[in-house]
Amino acid sequence: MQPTLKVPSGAKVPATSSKKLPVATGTMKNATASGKQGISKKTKGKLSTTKTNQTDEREIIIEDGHQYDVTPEPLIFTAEEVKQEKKDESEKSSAKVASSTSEKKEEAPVGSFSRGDKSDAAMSSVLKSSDQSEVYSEVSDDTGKERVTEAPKEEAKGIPDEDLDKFIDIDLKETETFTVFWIPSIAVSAKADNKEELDKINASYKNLLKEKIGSDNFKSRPSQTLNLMQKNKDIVTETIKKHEFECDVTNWMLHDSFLENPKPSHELVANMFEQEVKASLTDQLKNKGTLLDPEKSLTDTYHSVSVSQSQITNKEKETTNSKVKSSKRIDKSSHSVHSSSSVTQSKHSQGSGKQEAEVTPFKAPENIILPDSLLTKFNIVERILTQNRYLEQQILYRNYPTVEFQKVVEEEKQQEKGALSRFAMLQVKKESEKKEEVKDDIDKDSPHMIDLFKYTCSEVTDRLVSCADWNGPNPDLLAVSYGEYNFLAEKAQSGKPYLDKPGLLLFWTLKSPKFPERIIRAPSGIVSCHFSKKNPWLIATGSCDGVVSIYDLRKKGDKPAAESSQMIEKHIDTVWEVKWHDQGSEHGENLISISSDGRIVEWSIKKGLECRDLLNLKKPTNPNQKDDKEAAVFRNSVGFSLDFPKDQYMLYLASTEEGTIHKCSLSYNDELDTYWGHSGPVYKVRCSPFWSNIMLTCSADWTVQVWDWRRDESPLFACRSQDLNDAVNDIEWSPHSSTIFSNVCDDGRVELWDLSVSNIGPIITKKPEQRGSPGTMVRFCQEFPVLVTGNSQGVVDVYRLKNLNQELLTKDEHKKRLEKALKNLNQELLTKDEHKKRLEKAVYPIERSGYHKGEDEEEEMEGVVD
Amino acid sequence: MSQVDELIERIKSHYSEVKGIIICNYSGVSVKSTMTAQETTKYSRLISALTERARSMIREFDCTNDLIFLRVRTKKNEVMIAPDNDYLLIVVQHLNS
Repeated sequence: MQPTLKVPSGAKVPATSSKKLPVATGTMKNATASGKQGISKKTKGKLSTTKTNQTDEREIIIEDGHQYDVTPEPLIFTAEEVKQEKKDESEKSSAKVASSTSEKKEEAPVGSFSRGDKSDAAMSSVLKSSDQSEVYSEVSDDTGKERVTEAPKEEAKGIPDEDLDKFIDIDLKETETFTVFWIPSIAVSAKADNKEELDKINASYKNLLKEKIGSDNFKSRPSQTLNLMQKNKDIVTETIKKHEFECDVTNWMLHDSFLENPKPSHELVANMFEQEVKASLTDQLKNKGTLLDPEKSLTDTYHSVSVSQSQITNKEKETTNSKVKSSKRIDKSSHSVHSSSSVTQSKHSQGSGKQEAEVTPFKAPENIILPDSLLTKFNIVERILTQNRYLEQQILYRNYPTVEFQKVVEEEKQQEKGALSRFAMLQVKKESEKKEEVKDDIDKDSPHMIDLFKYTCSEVTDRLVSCADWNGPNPDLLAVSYGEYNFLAEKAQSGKPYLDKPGLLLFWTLKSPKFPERIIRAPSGIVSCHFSKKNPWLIATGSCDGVVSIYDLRKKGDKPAAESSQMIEKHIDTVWEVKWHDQGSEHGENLISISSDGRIVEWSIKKGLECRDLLNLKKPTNPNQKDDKEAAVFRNSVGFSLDFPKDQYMLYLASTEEGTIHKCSLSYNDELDTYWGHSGPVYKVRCSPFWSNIMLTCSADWTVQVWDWRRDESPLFACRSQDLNDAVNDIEWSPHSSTIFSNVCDDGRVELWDLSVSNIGPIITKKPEQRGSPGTMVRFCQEFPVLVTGNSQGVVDVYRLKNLNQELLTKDEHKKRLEKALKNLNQELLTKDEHKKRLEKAVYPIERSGYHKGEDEEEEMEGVVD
Repeated sequence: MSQVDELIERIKSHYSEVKGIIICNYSGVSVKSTMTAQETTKYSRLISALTERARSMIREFDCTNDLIFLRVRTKKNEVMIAPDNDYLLIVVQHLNS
């Protein structure tokens, strides 16, 4: 039967003509009608009267022999047509809703019927094939059912009132699962039923392909596929704003950001633990045949692993090192978490041997010579370090008033910080108060000494500090000489014969208490040293072997600029004191030395080192000792010290081992006068820098004597502490106050006397707790209220003097002060005498005539005492 | 601010060698200065950069550490830099030795 083509001539084509199946109800008709044609506009039925006027607008209708309408559907749907289709469907669905007939049954045939039709409708974009028809029916089913939901909305308006009370059965169904996209597989199971069929088809296809090649039946030609119409659409948007940002990320930036959003510590611990456990487990599992006990908890495994690490091999070292790394990384990120487990791990890995590159010691590159300019930098850094360490002491030394201010400011700052810090500050205060209480009960207003530093270093431990001198232009520089002089005592102590240890001259400053600025080594122990006033770079030393040397500090090295070792007239015994003496413009400054060989020698450096003997100290006889009627023994006596009075540059005073002090002149070979008063060797004689009449001497007889050498051959009075039972080794007048002087003794004590206060006892005494090493040197600092003392252990103590009542007076005023003080003291003595006379008068009244026992002797005594 | 002014005056008067005192922020913008405008900008710009660098270096070694004070000693003078959270105090002292 050939299909026939019918073309409607605008007349209506009854919809029923295209329908072949019998329909039970009118609704069916509608459904099928709309179903079959998809876009047919003709619908009949009760509820769709509006649609009856629609005509079939298709222009060409193709029917096959059996009057099936096989008109191909148009490929392109317009929007209106789609809408119409939707409406038809909604009507159909509303009809369904209203009726309560068995819809399922109806649907099935509808569904099945509509399969073919719906497939046409949906054909536009889908390829046909026998296997795929089911798919499309499913799709079409769905579209049908989708429209079910839409229908009630539209029809709600048209429901008559009587129907409102009717019970409406609503069937709720879920849609069938639909496949959105499916590419069927081209593989078929080998056990499929239609395998033979498929094989045949495949084989035939292959044959076909073969035949195609050279066959006349097949001709290849191109064909054009339909390209969907494309439309260009331009979109204009706002420009995407860009912002460039770059930064260097550093460790501390990460740290800071972490601080802002810190992870809670339990999380950190958990993380760390997890990582470590993982690491240890992986490590374990690397070994073949690892047995991990499943019943053990993870922690147990972890601990056993860490324990076993102590016996690991080389291979595993790497893994442990990586653990060290990981734990380090963890430490970096979790700045506050420091679990013991990581510590034990690192310990174990250390025990295992070599560390990785992170922990190796530094290896200096070879063949690098550091330049000498670095040495100066080292000096600078050392000075800065010293300043950082000793700042407080240096400030005290320099007598700066700012220290307290700083403390006040700090306290204020702390107060601002708040209550908590206040509490802390109170505690600090209490502690400091306690400390102060623990310290000796020093009354803050009374004179006392504060320990600043100790100038000592390893070079000079156990060396005896023999002498010291301040430099004129550089008042911070203190030259200290070291050398032993108590040979017999040394021998007795050590039992060995005394070996002359090499002498040392060290130059100390407060800027470096730990190490001297310069060290000069001499062949023999240096016993005295003195800076030249005129040429401050020259320092003269006298040593144990009798050699007098002059060092020029501008030159480097240990060699002196001039020394007397090769000279015939040199001293043959210890040179106890060397002093530079300026004799005016004529003679210039010359050096004068006094030695154990009894000679006082003057040295001049104008034309090389020249010397001339000034005096030979002879053992004089004591005029007071009348019993001694032996002839004077013409042997030289040992001289210990000499000093020059301020205003008299031709005169000088020398002290001897016999206990005498001689007044001598530079122009005479003999002593001018002799002073008696000491009962032991006089170690030092010092003239007052304010009133040259007054001199001070110290001796091995435990006393310090004050003399007015212009007036008397006897001392004015003695200064001796009640409990002092040792020799006084050194004395010095204070350069700041005329009535103050200091002395050091063999029992290690340092005393400071003020004659304006008292001559009975010192105003400051500093005794070592136990019997310390003997003090051998004491010096006042010229510029600052500082006292330095030296002992036989090579330690130079630097003290700050406080509250000494040092007024700023002119020299004349100072002189007067001293005069007044001495007068007062003398008056005291005199009053004692007067008291004594009064007592005697009371005991032995003078009215009685006759001989009074002891009267002559009294008179003699008075003569001596005065 | 008046306290700050007082302090600046005091430092200036007590220490005649002080060439200048600057308070600036880390971008190099100065807030207070006793020097000329050109010098101030120079100092504040350069020194703030140096301080940032120094602080970065110190914190790289130890995150919990921080820069308190920086002293730059040159042949002719000494620059003292005290960094704060937001501001920098710069004091330039002339040395005659």
